[in-house]
Amino acid sequence: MASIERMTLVNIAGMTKDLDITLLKLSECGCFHIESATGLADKKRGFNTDKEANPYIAPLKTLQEISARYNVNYEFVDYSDIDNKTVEAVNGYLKKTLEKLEKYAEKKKDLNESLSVHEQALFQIEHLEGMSVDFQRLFHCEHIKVRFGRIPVDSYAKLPYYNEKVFYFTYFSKEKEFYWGVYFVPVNYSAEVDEIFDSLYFERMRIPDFVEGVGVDAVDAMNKAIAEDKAGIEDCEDNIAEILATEKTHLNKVYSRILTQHDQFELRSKAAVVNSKFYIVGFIPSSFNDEFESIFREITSVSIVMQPAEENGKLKPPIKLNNNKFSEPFGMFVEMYGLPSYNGFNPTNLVAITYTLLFGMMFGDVGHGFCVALLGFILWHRKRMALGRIMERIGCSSMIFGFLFGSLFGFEDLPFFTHFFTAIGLGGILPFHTANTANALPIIIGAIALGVIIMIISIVINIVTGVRAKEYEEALFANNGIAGLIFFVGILVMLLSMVLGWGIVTPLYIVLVVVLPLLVMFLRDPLSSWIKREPYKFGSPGEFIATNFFELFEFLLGYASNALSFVRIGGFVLSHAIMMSVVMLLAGVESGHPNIAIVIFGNLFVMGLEGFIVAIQVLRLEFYEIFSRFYKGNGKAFTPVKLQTHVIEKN
Amino acid sequence: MRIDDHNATVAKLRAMYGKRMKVSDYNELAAQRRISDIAEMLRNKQNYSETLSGINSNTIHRGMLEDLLRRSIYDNYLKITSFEHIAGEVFFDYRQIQAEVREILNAVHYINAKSEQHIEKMPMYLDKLTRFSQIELAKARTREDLLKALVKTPYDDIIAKIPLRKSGKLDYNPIEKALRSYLYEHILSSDYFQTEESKPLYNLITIDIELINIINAYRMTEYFEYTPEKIRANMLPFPGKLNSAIRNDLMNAPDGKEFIARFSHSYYGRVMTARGIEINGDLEIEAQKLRYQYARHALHTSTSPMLSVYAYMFLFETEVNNITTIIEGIRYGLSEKELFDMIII
Repeated sequence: MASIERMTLVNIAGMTKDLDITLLKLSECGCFHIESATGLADKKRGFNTDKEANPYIAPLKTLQEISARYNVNYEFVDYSDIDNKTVEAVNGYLKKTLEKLEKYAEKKKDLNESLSVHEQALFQIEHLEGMSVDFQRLFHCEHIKVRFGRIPVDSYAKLPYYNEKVFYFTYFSKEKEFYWGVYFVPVNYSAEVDEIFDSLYFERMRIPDFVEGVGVDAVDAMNKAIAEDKAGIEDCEDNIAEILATEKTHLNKVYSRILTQHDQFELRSKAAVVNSKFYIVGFIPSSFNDEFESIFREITSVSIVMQPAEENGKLKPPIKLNNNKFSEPFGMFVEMYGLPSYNGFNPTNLVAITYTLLFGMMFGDVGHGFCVALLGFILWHRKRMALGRIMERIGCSSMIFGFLFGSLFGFEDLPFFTHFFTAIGLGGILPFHTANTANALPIIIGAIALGVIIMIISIVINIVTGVRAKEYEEALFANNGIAGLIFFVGILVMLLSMVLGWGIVTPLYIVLVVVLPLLVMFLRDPLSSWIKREPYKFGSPGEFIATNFFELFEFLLGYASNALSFVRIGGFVLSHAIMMSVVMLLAGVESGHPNIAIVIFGNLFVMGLEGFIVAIQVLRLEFYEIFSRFYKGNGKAFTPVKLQTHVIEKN
Repeated sequence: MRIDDHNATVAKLRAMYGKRMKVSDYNELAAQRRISDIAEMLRNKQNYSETLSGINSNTIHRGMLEDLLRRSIYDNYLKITSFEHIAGEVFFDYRQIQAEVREILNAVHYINAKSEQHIEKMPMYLDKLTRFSQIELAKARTREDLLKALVKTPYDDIIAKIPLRKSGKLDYNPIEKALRSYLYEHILSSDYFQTEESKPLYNLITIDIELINIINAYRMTEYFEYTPEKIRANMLPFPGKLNSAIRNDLMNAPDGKEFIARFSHSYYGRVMTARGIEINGDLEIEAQKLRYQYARHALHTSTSPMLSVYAYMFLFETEVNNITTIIEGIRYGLSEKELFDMIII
C-alpha cells in the first residue's frame, strides 16, 4: 500500500568533542534528514553555528585543479592507511605532485606556442613556395629592401600604372582575392614605393628570421620544426601520464579522505554550538527509531530526544513516499510534479494503475508491448535508468490489451486469437478489433466513461484528504468537494436517464442535485467563513456576484472539458490501429506476399512515434485532469545526510 | 522569350531585397568602433559574405573594405543579369554606361585637381566592362590625354565638343551634363520605351533625373551662388513631373532657404510630406529618401524585370552608400544619431 512514511523529530545534544563522530554516524546511518539548528537553538543560551573555516577546502581545490587540468577522474577508495597524516602533510604531497606535473605542462605550453609560430610561418612561406632564392640571402641584402606579403587582385591590376617606378613585384601564388608575392625596391626608393603599396592595400607579412633556404627548402625545414614540436609535446604528455599512473592510487586515497573530512566539516554548520555543547535537529523515519537510538547508545555524552514529527511548528516534516514494488517506479512522475504534504495523499498507486492502464489501452499490441517491455528491461538492468522499470510495466499492459484486441505487430487477423477466445467461450466478444470502424463509437464512448470514472475517483480523493487535513471548505463546498461531486454525478445520471429513459428527472431532483450544489459552490467563500466561525467580509454585491459567477462558469466548463479530454484515449486506440493498417497496406499484406522490410520499418516507426506521443499524452492526463483535482505537491523531500563518495565534478 | 517574361528574375530580386540591411543592422553597425568588427559583421551578412569571404577582418584597411563593398554592387549586378541570361538584352547595358560616365567624371575631377591619386580609387574590376583602358584614363593629366584614353568610344566626341575653361581647366559642369544626358538618352532611346508596359520604368527614370536636377540646382544655389541662367544651363534636358513654370521658380530662388521653401510647395514637397519625409534643410538626403521610396515601391509592385533591376540596383547602391557613410562617420567620431541622420532608409 502506498503511503507517506511517518517521521520522528529527533533532537541530539552532546559535547563538542563528540560532534565529528556524531556527524559521521548520522551520515553513515543513511536515514537522518538534518535541519539547520541555527534558527531553532536558543540564542539566549548562547547557541551559535560553527563558524570555523574549513581546513579541507585548500587541499580539495588542489585536487580539483589536478582533476581539471590533467583530466583525472578520482575514485572513492579506502583511505585508512593515510588517516593519521596531518592536513599539512597532505598539502605538501599535493603541492609536490602538482609541481612535478607543472614542469611538463609548462614545457608543453612552450612547445605549443612554438608550434603555433612555426605553423603560422609555414602558412606564409607555403604561399612563397615557388621562390627559388634562399630567404637568408634576401634578409641580408644591403641595398635592396624585400617585402613579402599579399596584394588584392584589384590592386595587382593597377601595377602597370607604376611601370616607371623603381620596384619589382612578383607573385608566387594566387588566392581568390589576393596575390601572394614579394616586391624588391632599392633602399633609396623604399619610402616612396612602400607608400604606393600601402595605398594599394598591400598586406605585408613578416617572415620570421629563422626561416632559411629557398621556398621549397624553407617549407621542408618548417615542416621538420613542426614535427619536432609535436614530438616534444607528445613526450611531455607521456611524462604527465606516467606521473599520474604512479600517483593514481595515492591520489585516490587522498581525495577520498579529504572529501570525507571536508563534507563532515561542512555538516558542522548545521549544528548549533555553545561553549562545549552542540545541538542537532532532524527527522528520521519512525520505523527506524529503535535502531537509531542503538547507534548512539555507546556515545555516552550524546543524548537523543524523540518527538512526534509535527511537534515543532517551525519544522515541516520531510516526505518519504512509501510505495509498493509495482508502483515504486512511478514515484518519479509524482516527484516531477511535487511531493505531497505530510498529511496528504500519496498518489503513486493511483498514477501507477491509471498510467499502466491508459498506456496499455492506447498502445495495445502484443508485439509492440513486448518490445517496450524488453527495451525497459535492458535500460533498467544495463543502464539503471528509472524509466526502464516504468517501460517494463506499461509494456506488459500493452501486451495484455494487445491480446484482447487480437493485435500482434499490426496483424489483426491472426487465427490464434480467434481460436483462443472461442475456446474459452468469449468468441463473440473478443478479440475486440480496434481497426473495425463499427467499434469506433463504442471506443470513444468507453474512453469518456473511463475518464468520468477517473474524475469521480479524483474528486473523492480530494474530499477524503480535505476532511483529513481539516480543510472542510475544500472538502464540502469546492468544485472538487461534495457539492461538485453531487452536481457532476447528478448531471451524468440525468444524461443517462434521458438516453435510457429511466424517468427519474423530476423538478425536485433538479433542485436538489443540480441547483443546490451550484448554489453551494457559488456561495463557497461565505460558507467557509461560516464553518470556521469567522466573519465574512463582503465587498460590493456586484463584485461578489461577478467574481463567483465567472468562477462557477469556469468550474462547469472544467467538468465538460476535462471529461472530453479523455476522448484522446479512444483517439489513440483508433490511431494506433489505423497507422498499423496503413503499414500493412503499404507492405502489401493483402497480396499474401508482404514486404517484410516495410513491415519491420513501419512497426519501428509506429512504436517510436506513437510510443512517445502516448507516453506524453498519458502523463498530461495524469497531471492536468487527475492531479489538478486533489493534489498540491508542496511537500519537501526526505534527503538523508551523507558524505560524498562519488567522483568530483570537473570545473 | 520576351524580355518581360523573366519572372524568376523579378522574384529573385525581391528575395534579394529581403536580405537588405534593416534598421537593427544599421544600429549594430553604427555601434561598432573598429574596422575589423565592421568587416566581421558585414562578412556575416548574406549580401556581402561572398565579396568579403577572402579578407582577413583583423588586418583589412578601411579603404579596401569600402572598395570591396562597392565591388559588391558590381558582383550583385553580374549575379542578377546572369541568373536568366539577360545581360545581353536591350536596356541592361545601362550599368556599363553609368560606370563609364562615373569613371570619366572622376578622371576630369582628378585632372583639374592635378592629382595623381585617381588610380588608387579606380575600380579595376570594371575594366572588363568599360570600353576604354582604366589605366590610361588614370594616367591622363591633360584634355588631350583624356581624349586619347577615350578614343573610339562615344565619349571622345562628347568631350571634344566642350572647350577648356579660360583657366585652362576642363569644364566639369558641361561635361557632366553632356555625359549624363548621353546616359539617359541612351536608356530612353531603347525600343522598349516605345511600348505601353515601359511607362512605370519611364516614370521612375524621369523622376530620378528630375530629383537629380533639383539636388544639383539646390547645391548651385546654396553653395556656389550660381545665377538662375547658369543653373538652367546645367540641368539635364528631360521632362519630369514639374512644369517649366515651377522649375523656373525653383531655379530663381535667391538662396538655399528660399529654394527649400519653394520646393516644399512643389509636387515632390507634397509627396514627401505625405510619405513622412521631413523637409528641414538637408535637401540632398531628403530627396534621396524619396528616390529610395519610389524605387522600393516599384520593386514591390512591378512584374517588369527591367524596372525591378533598375529599382533594385538603386536600392542596393544606396545601402552600400549608407554603409560607407557609417564607416566614414565612425572614423570621424560621429555619434550614432548623427550617423542615422545621414543614411537613407
